[in-house]
Amino acid sequence: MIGLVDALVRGLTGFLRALHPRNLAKMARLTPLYFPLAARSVRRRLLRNLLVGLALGAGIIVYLGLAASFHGTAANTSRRTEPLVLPADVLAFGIDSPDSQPVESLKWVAPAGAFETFDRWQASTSLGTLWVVGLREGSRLWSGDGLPPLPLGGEVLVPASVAKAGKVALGDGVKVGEQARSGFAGATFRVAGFVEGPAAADALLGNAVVMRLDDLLALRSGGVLVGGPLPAPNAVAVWERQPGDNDRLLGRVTDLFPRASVWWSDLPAARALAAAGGFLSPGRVILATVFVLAGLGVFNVMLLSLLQRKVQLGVVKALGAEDDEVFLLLLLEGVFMAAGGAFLGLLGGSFLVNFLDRSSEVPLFLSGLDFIWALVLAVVSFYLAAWLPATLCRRASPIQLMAGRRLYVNPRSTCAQCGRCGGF
Amino acid sequence: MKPILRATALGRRFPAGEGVWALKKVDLEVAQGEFVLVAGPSGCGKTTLLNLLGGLDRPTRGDVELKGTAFSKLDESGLARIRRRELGFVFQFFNLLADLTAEENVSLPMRMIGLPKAEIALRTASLLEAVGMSYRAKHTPFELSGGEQQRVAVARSLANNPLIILADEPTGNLDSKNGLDIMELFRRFNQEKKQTFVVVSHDPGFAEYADRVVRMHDGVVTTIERKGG
Repeated sequence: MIGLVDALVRGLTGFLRALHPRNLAKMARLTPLYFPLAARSVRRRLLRNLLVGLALGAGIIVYLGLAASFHGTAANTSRRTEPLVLPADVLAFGIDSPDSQPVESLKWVAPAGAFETFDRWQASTSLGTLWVVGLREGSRLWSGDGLPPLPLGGEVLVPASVAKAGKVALGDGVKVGEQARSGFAGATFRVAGFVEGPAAADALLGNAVVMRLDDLLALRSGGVLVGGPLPAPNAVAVWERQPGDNDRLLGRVTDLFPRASVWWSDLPAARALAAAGGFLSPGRVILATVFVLAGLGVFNVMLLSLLQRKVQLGVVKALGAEDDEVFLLLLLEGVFMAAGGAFLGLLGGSFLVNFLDRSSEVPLFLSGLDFIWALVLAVVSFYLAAWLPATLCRRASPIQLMAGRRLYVNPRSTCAQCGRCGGF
Repeated sequence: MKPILRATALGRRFPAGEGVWALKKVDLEVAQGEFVLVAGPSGCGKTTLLNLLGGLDRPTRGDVELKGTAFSKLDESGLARIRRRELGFVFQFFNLLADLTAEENVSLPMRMIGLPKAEIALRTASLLEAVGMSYRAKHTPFELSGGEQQRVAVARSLANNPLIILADEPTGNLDSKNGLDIMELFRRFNQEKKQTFVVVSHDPGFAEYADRVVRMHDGVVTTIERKGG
């Protein structure tokens, strides 16, 4: 086990060393010498090497098929989501101060539900300086909290605590706006109810004048206020409904909240879609496993091929090939097999997805990234599969190979003396 | 004559079981142009000695020097370079690369040291001609008889004009006629081109070809006989 770990560490450092420009130049110089040898060797064992290529190609085909299926399922889920009419799918709120961290401030709105619309503004009112909260007609913040039905335009709800203090009664007028040097600028709203019950303790509604969002927006954008520009929400969080709707939705949100920074998030379906393409998504893990299995197949065949050619490789070493050159020779053979397999896999995978898409109820589709991922995983799994056999051969002495002696991962003689693992 | 190859207190122990000393303590010197035959019964350590002299294996103790360069001071790459440029090998089972034709097998060592293509072609043709295999240049080993394969192997061993050719039972897998042909070939190269040979064989009949016969038994050199007493 220690020998294996040691070998892996050595292999990794060896790989990094191989990337040194001097070594790369050496490899480039040697490739013309060993390329024909490798090509001849692959051609000579065509059927077996074809099987190696096919194993890799099959891995790529399975990868592409599953990736297309994941993407299709996510897209299908996304389509089934009921569309929500703007601004019901916009969650907006004004942060307390420009110094606040908007994203941090947005965290608390999440439990309120994903599709609420409201705005908050600290304003001067005839009841004192209060937060003014604008809620949409269908807002869940109205219902379930003991609040009365939505007031008509020009009406507000006031905190029950203020009403109890005797400052206002139902039907009274309340001025909401900005107090400036030249006087009060704003509008008068009729008290249509009181915020009480659970809502009274709510951080959002407990100490605020509540009105229709439209009224609040009209007041803030149309009111002639003295003493500077109207405060505007600094942050708007938008839950994306569908891929593709973004531009239209963003346009409407920025119209409504021109000075706000806008953050986007996704609906679950969109999240599923993104997750399917995520680096460590379950889908990718399954797909990577496919490559590991394909890699094991390749490893077995490569190892078998090496063990059957111990003598030949020993002769190449005896004739003066350096260890790295033998490693290069084996890797080149691997490249021939992998290149063919990868080509077949990418071609076969795209044909298969195309074919299945015609008859499948769930739509299938592949992105360019899927092809790149498939290729990257194929190359990595192939390198890992080819690495151990090539390393075994690189480390063995010529006579060890020519005499057909057992090869051990760790080249030290103690490894051979132990011999419990049996070697290769 | 100053030796070009020197083995000092050479020993090789194989780790299997409690360890076996295949070669116990061998001192040997080989001079330029000499034809040395290493003889002895099977298992006496002849092949092990040859492998150590050729840098194909590392000794457990002792050292080998080729023109003053100690093998123990060389890493694997250094040994490979020595094998590539200074040594030629002929094996019992020919060991031609099955994927290559006869001429490609002969030219491979030259390509390894980066000779120009034209020179490689010229030398390959000349070597195949010298061993009488020109007419089989385009054939793969599978299409050649044992004797023919060994001739090609001899041509390959001469490819880079090595200092020494080390031959391990070169006739062991051949019939007597082909065996004699190969030994004649060795003698011809030795006499005409002053090529140094160290040949391992258990066939006592080959003693007449050698300048010196080194007899081994049980991992040690028992006698060294010089031609003419």
